[in-house]
Amino acid sequence: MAYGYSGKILVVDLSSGVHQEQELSDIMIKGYVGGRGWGSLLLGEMVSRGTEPLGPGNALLFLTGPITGTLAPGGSKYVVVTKSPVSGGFCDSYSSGRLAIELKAAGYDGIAIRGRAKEPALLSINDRRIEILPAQELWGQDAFQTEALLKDKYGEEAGVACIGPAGENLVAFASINSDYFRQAARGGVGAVMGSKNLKAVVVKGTGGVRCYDGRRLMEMVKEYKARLAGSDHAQRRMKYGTPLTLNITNSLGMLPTRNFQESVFPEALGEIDGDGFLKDVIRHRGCIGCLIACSKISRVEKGEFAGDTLEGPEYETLAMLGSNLGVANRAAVIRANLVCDRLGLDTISAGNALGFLMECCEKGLMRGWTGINRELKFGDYRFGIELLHQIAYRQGIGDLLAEGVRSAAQKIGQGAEEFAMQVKGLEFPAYDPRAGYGISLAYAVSPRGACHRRAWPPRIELLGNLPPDTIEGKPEIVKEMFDENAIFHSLLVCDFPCKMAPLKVKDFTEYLQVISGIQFSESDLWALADRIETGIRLFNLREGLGRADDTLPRRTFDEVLPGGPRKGARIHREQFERMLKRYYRLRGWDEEGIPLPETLQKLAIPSS
Amino acid sequence: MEKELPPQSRIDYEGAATLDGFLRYLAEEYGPALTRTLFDRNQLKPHCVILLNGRSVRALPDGINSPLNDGDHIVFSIMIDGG
Repeated sequence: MAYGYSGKILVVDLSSGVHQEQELSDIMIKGYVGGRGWGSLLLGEMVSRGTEPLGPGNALLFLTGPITGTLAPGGSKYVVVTKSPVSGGFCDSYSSGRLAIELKAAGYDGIAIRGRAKEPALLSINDRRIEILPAQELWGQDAFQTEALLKDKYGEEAGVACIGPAGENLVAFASINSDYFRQAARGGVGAVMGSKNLKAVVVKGTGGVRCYDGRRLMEMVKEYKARLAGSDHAQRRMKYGTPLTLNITNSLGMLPTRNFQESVFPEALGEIDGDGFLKDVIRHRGCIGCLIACSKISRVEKGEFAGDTLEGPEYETLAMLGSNLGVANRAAVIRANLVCDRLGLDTISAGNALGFLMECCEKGLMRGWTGINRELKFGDYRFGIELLHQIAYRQGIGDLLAEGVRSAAQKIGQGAEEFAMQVKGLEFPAYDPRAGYGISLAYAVSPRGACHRRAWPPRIELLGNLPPDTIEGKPEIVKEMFDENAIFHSLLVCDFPCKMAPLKVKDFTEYLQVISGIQFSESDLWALADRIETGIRLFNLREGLGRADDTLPRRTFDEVLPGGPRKGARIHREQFERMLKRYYRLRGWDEEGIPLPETLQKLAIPSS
Repeated sequence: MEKELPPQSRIDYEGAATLDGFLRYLAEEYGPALTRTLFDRNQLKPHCVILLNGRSVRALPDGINSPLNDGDHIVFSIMIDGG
């Protein structure tokens, strides 16, 4: 077995209670590397066509990579891969924490969970001792209580992934939580875990990761540390974390405001932006082994939410539970964030769900609708927070929102679909795609639905030297960004140090060589990215997703931004279609987005 | 000694009506740290961002020599990569 890897995936069938070990194959290591790459290969093998995402036939994969658990930068992440109950297609959702490290130390590169336990269950992994244990006493507990109980029993060093009530109740945007405040949150992975009656996974390991050239690895980490110390970019990111992003998105005119009706929110300044955020920060926190420590611990000192303490809030949450709801009250956003974390809800989709309902109420679409006893207005954070509970427990109108905005809009009708801001059922993250053509394409073609974590073109088209309102060069940028992140997410490293130190694919090629002892070249990794993206496309096509799903809601095409620097901007359909065609061509797919036979051959992907 | 520029500031400025002129004014008024942070041999550092009314100075036809008008909104920041 190559260095860096543990060499095995643990396969657990919750229906039968049987577990076995699957050896990593040569193709898994050299052709797909880890993380997202393995997900693209294994999901199609383990889940048959047309499988119900919330049925026992679906698989829930927790995957690491060769870099996980080593000293290399950003190496404490894991990815959850499954067939999404939201899109019906491929879903990969990333988190970080103790779980990833302990899993490698226990001797596994990943866990594949299939079937469904008859009763609420806990999967315990203690080195090679695997147990499926009853978890009745945990079922019904929120995610914080669950983790605390498990840490009491298994020790503070145990790695935990668990769901809250939202996952138990199969909410379409339920998260899987680790280390209390870290979530694999997008695409309904928590609902899949809940559908398997699996409340938590707890992992402890006593082993380690064997590195091929530990001496060189140490040298590289020292060089990286020096590079960080000399990086003004990294130093400022350490200070401000992600919330500084809000100052920029507001200045650029792309900040979601009142359910994407507007794109600037002046009330945010000094309150829910980078400067406001810093007023509540009491200390910094980094993931295990990370020297950047972009995360912050905030504490509310005064007012109705005094005493609330959490890790965060991150930019996405400040925007989606703040400006997108017309809320500039930072303490209220912190409370809403805390409630989501406890209940196990994705803050991005939760912010979309509430914003969508607020707009429905504003437009008078909810009159006569049972389950809602008063109108939800923009800015009403108290009712919004109450509704988060109703969503997690599927009470009243919460049951409607619990399926996500696409489903809710279909039920409400009356044109509500036009402003249900989602792609493939996954709600928009906190960037209005009308601000730039590149963002609109990135959202549309992202396999899991509207996503900012696969490609973030504003770096070039709004902060760089390309104009936002033209399509030239945008498909090329989107593809390159997708591919770069596919490499990072397969290795599986955090892409923040990559962007800020900076560390490039070339740097990580050496990390991979030094850790694994395998002579990968940089071009091997870029080729691998193409293979992975096309493999994921094949999975989505097999499950019925296609070109018609690579699109955006009508608001994006038909309504212009009403103010701010991008006033008057919208996405013109004809331009969008041209970008889409070009993107498909760059990928080696035909005009319908179906990979061409020669592409499959070139990428060594089986055509069946 | 540097003076700190508050995060959200309104500045009354009556110098040369270009972004470059304004930056020179800030350097005189608040010390050279701002220009040192933003520029390397007169080039905007790759990780730095200047926005003039929501437009990246890199994409403006006149770049750093872009004209300024009353009420203009200028942002200095580090590059971001999503949240």
